Amino acid sequence: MAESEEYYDYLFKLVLIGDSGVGKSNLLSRFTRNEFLYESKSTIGVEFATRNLKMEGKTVKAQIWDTAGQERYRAITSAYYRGAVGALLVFDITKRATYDNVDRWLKELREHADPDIAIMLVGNKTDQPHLRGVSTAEAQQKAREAKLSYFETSALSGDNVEASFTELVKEIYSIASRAQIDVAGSSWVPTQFRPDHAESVPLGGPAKPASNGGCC
Amino acid sequence: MGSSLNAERIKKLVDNCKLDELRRIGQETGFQDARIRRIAWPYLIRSFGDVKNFEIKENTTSSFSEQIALDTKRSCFKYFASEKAWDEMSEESRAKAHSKVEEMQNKLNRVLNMVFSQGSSLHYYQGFNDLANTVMSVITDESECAQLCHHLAANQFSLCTTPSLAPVTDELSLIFHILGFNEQKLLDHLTKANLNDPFFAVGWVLTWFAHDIDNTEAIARMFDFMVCSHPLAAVYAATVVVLVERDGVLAREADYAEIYSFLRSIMTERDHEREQEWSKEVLRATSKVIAQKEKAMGPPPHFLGYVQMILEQTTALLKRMPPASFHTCTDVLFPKYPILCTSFDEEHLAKAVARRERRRELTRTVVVGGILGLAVVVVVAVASQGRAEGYT
Repeated sequence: MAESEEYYDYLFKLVLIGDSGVGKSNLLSRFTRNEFLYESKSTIGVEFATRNLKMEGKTVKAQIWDTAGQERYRAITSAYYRGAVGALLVFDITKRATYDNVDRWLKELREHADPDIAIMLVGNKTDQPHLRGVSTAEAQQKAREAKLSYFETSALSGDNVEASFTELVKEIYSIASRAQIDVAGSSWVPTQFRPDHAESVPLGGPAKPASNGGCC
Repeated sequence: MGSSLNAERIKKLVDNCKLDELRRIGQETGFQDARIRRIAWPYLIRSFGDVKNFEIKENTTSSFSEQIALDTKRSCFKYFASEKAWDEMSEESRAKAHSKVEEMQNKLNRVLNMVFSQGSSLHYYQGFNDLANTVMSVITDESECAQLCHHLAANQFSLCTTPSLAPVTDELSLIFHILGFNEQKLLDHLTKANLNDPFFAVGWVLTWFAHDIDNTEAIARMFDFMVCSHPLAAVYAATVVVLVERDGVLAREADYAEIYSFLRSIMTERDHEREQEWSKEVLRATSKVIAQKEKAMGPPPHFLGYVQMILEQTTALLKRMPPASFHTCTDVLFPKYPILCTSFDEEHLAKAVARRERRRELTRTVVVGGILGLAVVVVVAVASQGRAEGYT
């Protein structure tokens, strides 16, 4: 790549949440490395990966935190909601129970995340249409009611993965760039893992370019 | 193998209940092959306490069955091929290998269901599958394996199998506490990066590193050490990893994500390293066993050498700052979990409990005294008022 991975104009922290086994980690590896692991392990605690995206000529670094799905890990994973500007709430379209739990995850976000976090509902595993247990229309309806956007993806085939992440980033970007005009002149720092400062920077502002700009 | 470690000798030690000697071997060199481990591990695992009424149940389920099924389906792969080898396999050989893996996964599933359906209050957590997988790679008999996993769940992992993971986060905080005594500069850097909780180490502690390591020999070596050590030994080992990797941490910007991802993946990185970035000099200088063995057997396989070094430093740290020495702090940090002072230091536990009792007693005295004092003041005030009124 010609451009250094280090350089970015904006840093967005996103979280991947949802029940165990819905495919969060594989969505992330598909998006950041274009990989799908048949032999993937369950996630313990929290892992993360990043990918840079171009938005209107600016570089946005998406820093995506992938969380363990099992309920008992919430004590740890919910600490990562703070300061996040976006969330992908994933369920498995072939497992009804994971869809039924969406409301609980929304409640989780309401309790621990910033109030204006952008949330996208994602129905994963469209590569198994014969096992579908949740219809598109139904999920769309739920998303509309909760004012979320909705995407259906397949981490396995790669279908719609790029589109869903990009759409969420775009949504946040448009809010962030609008907000930037409002606070022009104030010195923004990127939203990092800074619980005590999180509320002062609801959206990732322009980050300082890395001091050593890599090759040029 | 040219060492004096052989199955007969270990068997003799087990038969004669030479627990200390066995523990010393497990910590210093490990048991080196599955045959010897099969003799040593059951005895050592059981030495941490009794588990009452283990029932052998075939085809049982538990309230954790769903989660167990999800996790076992994602287990066992490393016992057939490395991650890279899986990646490069043809569709056909992958399908063939998968059916073999499935057999092992089904067995693991049965083991885990047996462990968590014992009517006890043990709670399954994601990661326990990695632990049980390791035990199963050595103890092939299904019910014996389940019984030993049950022992682990009830004793050395008793803090992890409670209904919430809160005790584990307390346990993890000990990492920074120990770091503070050893490397203030390192701790300052972590604090500057807002790394206030060592969550990067949660998988290490919950699985004795089995989740992050693919090298099955190295995992077994890790377990040789842990089944011989204090329940907090994994927390000490985690601390040592951070200390050993200090230059890597300090070289990074004090940024949460940077440092988190570096530490979170360091064991896997070291495991997968082809080239030996770790200079042999460092290993030789820090590991007595490696220096000795090298003379006889040539240089150690790289990652095993790394693990050996970590464990030797863990032993040293455990000796220098034994868990008992943290009792004043564990008493404050873990008031609800006196269980942290298990087995090895009952005396300290008794003292800690007595200390707490005394404190509680003192509080009670102060409160009662305060109330009595107040009552006296009120009575006197009322009486004097009454007297004053009487005069008018």
